[in-house]
Amino acid sequence: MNLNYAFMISDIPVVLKALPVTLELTLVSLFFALVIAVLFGICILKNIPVLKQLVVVFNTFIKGIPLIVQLLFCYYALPYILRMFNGIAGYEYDPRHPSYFGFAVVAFAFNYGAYLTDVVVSSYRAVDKGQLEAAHSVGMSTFQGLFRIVIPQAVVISLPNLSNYFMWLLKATSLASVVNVFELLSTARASTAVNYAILEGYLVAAGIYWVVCIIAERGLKYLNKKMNRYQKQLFVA
Amino acid sequence: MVELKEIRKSFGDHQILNGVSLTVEEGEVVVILGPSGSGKTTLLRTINFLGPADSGTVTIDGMTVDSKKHHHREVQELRKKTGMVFQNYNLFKNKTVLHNITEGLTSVRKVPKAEAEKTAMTLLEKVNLADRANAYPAELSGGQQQRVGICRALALNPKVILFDEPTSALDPELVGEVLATMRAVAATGITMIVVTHEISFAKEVADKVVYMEEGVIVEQGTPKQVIENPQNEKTIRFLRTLLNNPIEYNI
Amino acid sequence: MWRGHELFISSLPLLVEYIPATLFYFLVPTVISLIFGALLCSVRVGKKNLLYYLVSLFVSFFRGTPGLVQIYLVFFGLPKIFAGFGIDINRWDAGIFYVIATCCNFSSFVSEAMRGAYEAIDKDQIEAGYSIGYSRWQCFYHVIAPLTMQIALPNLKNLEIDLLKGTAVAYVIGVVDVMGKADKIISLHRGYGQIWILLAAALIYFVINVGIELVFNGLTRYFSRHERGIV
Repeated sequence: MNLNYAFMISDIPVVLKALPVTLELTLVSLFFALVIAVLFGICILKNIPVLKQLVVVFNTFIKGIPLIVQLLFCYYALPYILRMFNGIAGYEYDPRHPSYFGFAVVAFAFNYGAYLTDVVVSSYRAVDKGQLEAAHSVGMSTFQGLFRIVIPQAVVISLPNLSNYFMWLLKATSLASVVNVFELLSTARASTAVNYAILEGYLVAAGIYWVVCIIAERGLKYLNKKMNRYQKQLFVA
Repeated sequence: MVELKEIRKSFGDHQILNGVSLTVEEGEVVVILGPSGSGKTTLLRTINFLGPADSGTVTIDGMTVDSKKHHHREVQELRKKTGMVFQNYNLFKNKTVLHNITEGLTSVRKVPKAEAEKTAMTLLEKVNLADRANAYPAELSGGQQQRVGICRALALNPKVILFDEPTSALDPELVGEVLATMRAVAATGITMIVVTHEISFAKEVADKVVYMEEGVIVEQGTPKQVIENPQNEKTIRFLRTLLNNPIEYNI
Repeated sequence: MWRGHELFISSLPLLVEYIPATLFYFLVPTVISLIFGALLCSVRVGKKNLLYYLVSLFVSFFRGTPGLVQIYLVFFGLPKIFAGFGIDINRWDAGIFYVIATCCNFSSFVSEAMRGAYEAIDKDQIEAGYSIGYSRWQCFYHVIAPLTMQIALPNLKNLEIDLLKGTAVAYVIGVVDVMGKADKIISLHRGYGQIWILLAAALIYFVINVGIELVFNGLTRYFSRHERGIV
């Protein structure tokens, strides 16, 4: 196959410059997804009437439709919503510079928030009930027991799942290239437009994604192992 | 020291406790016996409100809390007078052995860390686990975990320690070390309420044995009275099944 | 923004027409990937020879890069490879490229789901199989395969749902399925009522997903029928 190898090598640094955008998109989306997941999770765990049902219906719907549809939906709908806020509390809507990055974050945050809600709920429930009882038995309040004993354990339980969703999200951010976010993939595509080396550009992008994913996976594995040190079992022969 | 009055509790239609009253004197070791489902564990858990009763009052060391209307601050005060040893140990999985014991001291009693650790180490030395202070519970055998559980309860210097079937999750060869620790605890003169199936422990250590069935106290008295010379039909039947398995199989 | 709701009603039947196309892009990769994924899995749990490392590399690449990038790679790369042999495939339907890319991607995920399940099965069950005199094949057929399926099912269900939702991406290389049609309708009505068209598409995808969910719930019940306790 005749590829323009010289171009590919020269293209690597160009595409790499967009890697921070992809990582930022991933981390910012993950942060808001976690915030949403914790809030939604509390609604479910505390069995708050109406809110709980709303959360379940909303999350079910989110999980049932393609992410790309949600991204496009935010891309088209959010400018209208922002325009409605024009003039309120000193906010000024600027139609010439829409924040495509922000729109994508909203879509990713709600999409992954729906999945992470399940992680939050199941991790909390996976902590042995006896742990909170033991906390009570030494005189701790429920608040102390939750924050000193139960939640630290739930966080560790949720880590493998969180890591998986992080990897999914990292790859999914490439979809933002469809809605005008200049992340890694769209940068790769744009960089090749001059000399029609489209395939070469995509190969470079794929290579970078692959390397980043492998590094992230290794890192998360190490983190999981470290956080999990108290769960290693005594091998009783 | 501990007084339970007219404790009643039901799950749905099922009455678990049918008005149990029990008095425990200071320094007394009380062993509660009974078949599974008799409500003995449920009774124990009503004392420190881990599973509050529907009605009845609990008095510990002069402090009375009504099960019907209790404020969580009251309950927390009451719990500070008790320690508990669980059937499944329930050590904090994310804390080392040492921190399992110091946790209650530092976060509840606000004891300085160094002092709490000194207390913990003294206790660990007494149960021969000082060398495992920095291990996590998952790295210990069941018997070792339960000994740590006993230390955790003791560290808070409670008025009464509640033992909820402390040996029934253990492998048979590990039961001995835990019972030995419990004997040592009893020898210090602390008040103990023990739910167990260990008849020999009851015989040797208990000051008072309580036999429960179907949510009521059937018989109570000294070990001699209840175990060696039971009066009630139900107690006799229970002790017989416990001492020799009456069913034989032919294969 | 609130104008155009009549587009929801008018575009719905147009989109419904493309449900068979979406199902095609869902079912064909499903069937191919279940077979191919099982093959990859059998290599991955076997001896560490050259084939093992090649398969591992394949699986790592297709799990470690975004599906969208893979679609582009196949779409632009495959014609170049074929051109090297003097065959022109530029006239192939875009759907074929989508199916090829998705099969590579999906079988990699399927193989890992199966491998995880295989490693999780209770090895005592296999020993019990041999203890009553099963041959290796009998053991695979009666013990290993059903247990692996049972453990892998929840994962497979999630993967299948992701696969269905993933078909919506195919429109970027010109595949016309439900989302492809929605994209076409959107460009016909420039700047007007896009969200209503998207909502119509969302509704269709949601309904198909509910269908998949029901199928898998049935399968889960079937494969775990031995775990029903005494009630």
